[in-house]
Amino acid sequence: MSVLANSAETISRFNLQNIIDARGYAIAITGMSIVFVALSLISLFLALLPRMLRVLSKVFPEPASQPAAPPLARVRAGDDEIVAAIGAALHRHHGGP
Amino acid sequence: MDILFEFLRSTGFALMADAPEHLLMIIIGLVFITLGIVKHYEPLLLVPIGMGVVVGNIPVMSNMSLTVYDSARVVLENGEIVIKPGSVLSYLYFGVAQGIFPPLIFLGIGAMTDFSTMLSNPRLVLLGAAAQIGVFLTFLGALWMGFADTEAGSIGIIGGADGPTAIFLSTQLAPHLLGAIAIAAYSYMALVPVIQPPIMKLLTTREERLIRMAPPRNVSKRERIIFPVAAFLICAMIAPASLVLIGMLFFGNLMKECGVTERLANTARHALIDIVTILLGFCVGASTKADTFLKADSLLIFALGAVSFAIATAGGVLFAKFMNLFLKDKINPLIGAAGVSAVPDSARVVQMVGQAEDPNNHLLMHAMAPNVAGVIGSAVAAGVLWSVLAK
Repeated sequence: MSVLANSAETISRFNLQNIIDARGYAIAITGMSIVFVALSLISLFLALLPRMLRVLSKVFPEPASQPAAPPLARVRAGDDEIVAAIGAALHRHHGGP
Repeated sequence: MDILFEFLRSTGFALMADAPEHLLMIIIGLVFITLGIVKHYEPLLLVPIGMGVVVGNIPVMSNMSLTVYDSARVVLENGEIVIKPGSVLSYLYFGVAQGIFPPLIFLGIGAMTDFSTMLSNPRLVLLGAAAQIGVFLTFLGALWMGFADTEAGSIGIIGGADGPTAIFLSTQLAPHLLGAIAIAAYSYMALVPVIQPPIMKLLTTREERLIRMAPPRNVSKRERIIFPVAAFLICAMIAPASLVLIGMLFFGNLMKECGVTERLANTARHALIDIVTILLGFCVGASTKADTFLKADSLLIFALGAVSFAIATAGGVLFAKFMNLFLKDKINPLIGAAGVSAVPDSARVVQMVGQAEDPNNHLLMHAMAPNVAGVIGSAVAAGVLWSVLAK
């Protein structure tokens, strides 16, 4: 089969010189540095963003927004029993009529 | 009678006798389908890819326009220029071959990703960068093994554990390896829960795995809206070649967060990404041909992919430990493993490994930060490799 036929030939081309010929080390180091610079800048920006927004909100106050309800707090269909149980418990606790 | 014999000669059975390797490919396709259905390994990817492999490897007569490679062509017939239309599959494959589908997938990922844990703890972004060491070390490994530089770049990106990015880069740099690279990238995404935990346990102590992290703070709506635009500008200015992938990712996220385009975001993260995933998976599967796929090179690509993925995981974990040397609020180094961009699978693996030590330690939210940073990191890495290696 072709896999076996050319595997010996494939292994024979393993050579560290290939990396040097293709400027591999330089590309890898440069590439890794660029990725780090890009993500460090994002990280830095995110760290400063709350401060910038604090200044901004003095000039343009953020419209009073009601905090979004966390998804778990939302009543899902099928949770009727739980709601009923909570209702009953509250009723008992408050000693309603 | 002649017609019957002629037909019999054109059946898959007759042609299979000449090219038995097709049978092996069909079995590989069936294994993918079985893994998806029985083992639930990324069924949304493995089932379309597996069926694609089966469809693409039925032997057909060469004069019939059926495979993904039979694209439209211009021929000279009796002194006249005639345009021969391509096969149906070739038109579907166009989106893969031209790198159209991966950015659309990124649009959907952007529209479903919540960046708020990353916004609340910006230093975790660096873990997403550290895991990209897997990409560049594998690039060197592939060069050592004698792959051309463009091929090595495409193979390295498998370590980003990001199927769409790997496909995008190999369509630009090494289209002939697309089948093997795409299959390797998606297989390793499916194998995240198998490959990562042993490496994570090996590199951390029990005390480190038990570290609890403070819950993320509340992130304001303004922060979440400004982030995608600003982050896009930073990435695209530094590595302009990444602007298609990064642009679509953050455009999707802007639609999600701005609050006035919920309908569009909904389509992007549900209908659109599903349609593109179906087409992408199926066409990538159908593009694997026995004669180009069953080669020693493909086996090397699979081996390099696994190594790449393991190095990326180790890179993230070790960098988290390195950061802990300087930090007062320690990071649980397990979340470094989520720096590879298999979203959200590797974050889930972190949660799982963390809970094996302490069932009440919830690392999922924290792990999502390096996880989404990893997506950005591998897209930037792909952009850098593309701009350096494109000829």
